[in-house]
Amino acid sequence: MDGARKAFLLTRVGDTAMMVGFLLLYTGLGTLNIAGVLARAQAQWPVGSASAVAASLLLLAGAVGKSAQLPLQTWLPDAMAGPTPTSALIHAATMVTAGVYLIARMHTLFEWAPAVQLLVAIVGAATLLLAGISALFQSDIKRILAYSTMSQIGYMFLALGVGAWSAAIFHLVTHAFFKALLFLGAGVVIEAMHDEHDIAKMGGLRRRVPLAFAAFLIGGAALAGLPIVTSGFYSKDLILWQSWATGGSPLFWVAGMIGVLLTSLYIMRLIFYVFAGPERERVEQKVHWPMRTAIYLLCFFAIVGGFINLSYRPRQGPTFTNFLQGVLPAPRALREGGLTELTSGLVSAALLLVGVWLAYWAFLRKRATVEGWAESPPGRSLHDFWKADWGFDWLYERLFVFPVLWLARIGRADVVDAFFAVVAFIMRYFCRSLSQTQSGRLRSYAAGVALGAVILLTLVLWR
Amino acid sequence: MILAIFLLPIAGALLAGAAARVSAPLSRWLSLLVLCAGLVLTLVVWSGHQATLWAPGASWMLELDRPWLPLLGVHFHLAMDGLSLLLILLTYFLGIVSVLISWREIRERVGFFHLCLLFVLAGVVAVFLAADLFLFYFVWELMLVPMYFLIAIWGHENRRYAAIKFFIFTQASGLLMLVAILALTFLHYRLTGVYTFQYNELVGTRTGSPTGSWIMLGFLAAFAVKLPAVPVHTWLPDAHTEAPTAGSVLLAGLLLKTGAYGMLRFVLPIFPEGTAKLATLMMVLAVIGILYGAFMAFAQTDIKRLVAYTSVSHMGFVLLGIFARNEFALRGAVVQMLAHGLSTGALFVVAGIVQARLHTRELGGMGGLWTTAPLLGGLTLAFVMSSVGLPGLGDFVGEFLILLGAYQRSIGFAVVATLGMIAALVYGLKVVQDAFHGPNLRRLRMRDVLPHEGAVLLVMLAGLICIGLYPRRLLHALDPSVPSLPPATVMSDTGARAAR
Repeated sequence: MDGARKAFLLTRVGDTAMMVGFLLLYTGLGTLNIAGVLARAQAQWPVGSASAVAASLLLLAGAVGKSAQLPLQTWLPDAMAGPTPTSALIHAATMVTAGVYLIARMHTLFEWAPAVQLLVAIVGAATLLLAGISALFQSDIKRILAYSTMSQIGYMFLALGVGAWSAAIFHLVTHAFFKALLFLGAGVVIEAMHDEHDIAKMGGLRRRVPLAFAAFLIGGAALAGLPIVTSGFYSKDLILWQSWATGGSPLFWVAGMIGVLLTSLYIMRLIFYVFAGPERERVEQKVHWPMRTAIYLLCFFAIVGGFINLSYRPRQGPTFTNFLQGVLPAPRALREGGLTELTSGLVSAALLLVGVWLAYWAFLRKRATVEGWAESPPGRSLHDFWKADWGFDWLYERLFVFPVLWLARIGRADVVDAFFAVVAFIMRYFCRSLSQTQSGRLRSYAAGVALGAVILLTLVLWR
Repeated sequence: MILAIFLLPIAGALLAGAAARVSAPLSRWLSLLVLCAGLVLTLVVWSGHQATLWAPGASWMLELDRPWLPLLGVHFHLAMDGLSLLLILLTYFLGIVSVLISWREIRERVGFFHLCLLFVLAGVVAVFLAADLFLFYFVWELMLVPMYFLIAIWGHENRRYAAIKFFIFTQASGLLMLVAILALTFLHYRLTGVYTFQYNELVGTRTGSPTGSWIMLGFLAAFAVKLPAVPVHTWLPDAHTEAPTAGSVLLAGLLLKTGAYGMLRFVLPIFPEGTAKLATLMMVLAVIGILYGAFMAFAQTDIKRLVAYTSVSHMGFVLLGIFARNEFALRGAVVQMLAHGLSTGALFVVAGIVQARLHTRELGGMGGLWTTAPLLGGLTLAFVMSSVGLPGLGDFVGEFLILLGAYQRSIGFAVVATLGMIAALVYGLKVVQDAFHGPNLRRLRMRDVLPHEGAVLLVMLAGLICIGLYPRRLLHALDPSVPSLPPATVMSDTGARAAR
């Protein structure tokens, strides 16, 4: 319930900023037709002009709210942990990526404001790291996937920020396949466990629910970007390579690579916890055929979905990128030297394997030891801090929620009304004092008349 | 025709009052019939004028002008343009709503209730039609007394306090307007040697002098109290909360609109220089109203009081639109008036239904009502969403146009005002979640909407959807009236298209 409120509010914050952006665009360019806006912005605004920066910044706020990026990201895990897996998959696979679409659609505007475009990349890189770490410390299976969604959208933002527009959209597409698959798998698991979300209480499910196991293996491999055979590999490696090649800061590339390590760590942790090890309890799960069909289909696309960007004819280049060429321009001038696409891919593959091995070591072989670290006092606090997503909720509650509630409590009676109440009180006071003079005693009336006459006479005579 | 629109509610009031001696239902049916006739009549006028859209310059769609007190230059002058037409439509429609939802709620003094109700409506209709300032003041006061009775007789616990407060605020500010009207006439006499109260003639009066500014303040006082603008809004929460449901609907839906109408019709055209000078201050008040109203709404625990404060916030948007004084903002203000009449009126209907069933208005005493009254819950959600400005529903169109206009006038005001849309969401979710969602801890059971209540709410929702998705008709109807309000910025062709 609170999740719904939070989701609505935080996206509204972004939407409102976006609306101000629309007001600016309309006032500055005289149209809200997208093609018109882009054409006129190019014609009328110089690159880096204040209007372009402000407009793209406001649109970015809308995208950040919708796509749950820093600093408006806190609504997403709550919103995805609550409802049914089906709505979560629709949400994760399509709706939250609308922000990515928005930026890609308005890409000219962002190219006209290089500072903001850089900010997009920074937001993306920061979110993918923060959310990746948070995902590693969750115990709710759907929260892990929710943080993973944030992290993957972070990759898309990173791609947008470095100008790899079509790579962002490519990742949007492949992500939809494998994240939907993972959510469906999670649904099967949760149903088999009778509404249990906590992965620490699961184990050994690989025999009982092999379908979910397969879904997680394939989806997880695609998410982590297992080379050659999964869709995620093609899109993510394109982003990683282009974040280097477009000549921005090499830190973006580094962030993306750390992200690869984190991704394989948290998804393998989930898989080892849920499917490996001894069986905790006997579960029976029959999966109905519509669900089966959906899972098979998504498995298929999670594997082959990336092949749409291969080049099928000699010298034709990547198919999907070419398809988008008319709308989204190719990345800027490429950086010479340093890495090649092959090295970048090899590094990411190596990191992926390191991640898998680390996860195997920490969450399967030495699980007790690692959990022991997490129980120790410093480990405990760190664990809680990351589990609570770096304390953003805590901070926002203190910054915004509590003050407003406090003000609302003390301000319930309208302050302005106090003024009118005072006026009314004074009126009533005079009214009462005057009505007391009407006492019915003849003597005081006579005295009053006499006194008045004296005063009047004095006034007349004095002049 | 215009006389019929003017006279119908008065005749209906007398008829319904008399009919109650025979039987109470007869009185209800008669009121309903009369109001429906008025609605149909107004629609006929509208459709008749669809085809022959006025050339720019032709001022009124319908007009009736008879000398009344020739010595003083007072005329009985009724006139209607697009602005009046839309607001009269709203008046008749909300009148029908009020009669229907009082069907079960009001059981004592049925005849007098309908007499008062229809007299309020008669006053409101006349306010929207009057083209003579003397007549305008007359009918302005005519709204007041029956409304006072509605609150004081059929209201809730604290009704006498609320009724007196309402009366004093409106009466005191109304008297200021009377002084201003007289002063304006004398000013006009000094300049031209003619005594007149005619709107058409007074519009041209040169009011740039300091005297003119003082006269404007007199008008503004009355309209700002009615609107209401912060800081003279404090009669509103009390009156809205204590009034019977029909009274709240009339107050929120119509009486507040008369304040905005007065500003649009009189203050802006008669005092162009004065309003230009005062615009910044009024926009500051408007923005304060938007935020303060929204915050106060959130702070309330009484559902009717909460909705009442949302009116302060929404009418702040209207005020902002009026004093941004360009075509977008003015159009937006009118659309917002109509949409607010429907959405807030509907929320008061909902509050009335809930109160009638549960005998409490406290949000703390509700919760989980969705399980027991799902239809009401769904409808409430829709109206709340309109009220918080969800695109596709009426209020959004108004607010967007107002913000667009305000942005062109002053970026700062527009940006601060948009914060009001975030604040609106906070109070909107509070209503829905505290009352309808969550666990039903008290095991409350209540009947879902009855057919006539459901019908009323559905029609109101349909209206909001129409405004939200296809505001073009409304904006079209406003074409001849709003651009006549000076000073208008020139709107480009594409701009006009986008605005529709």
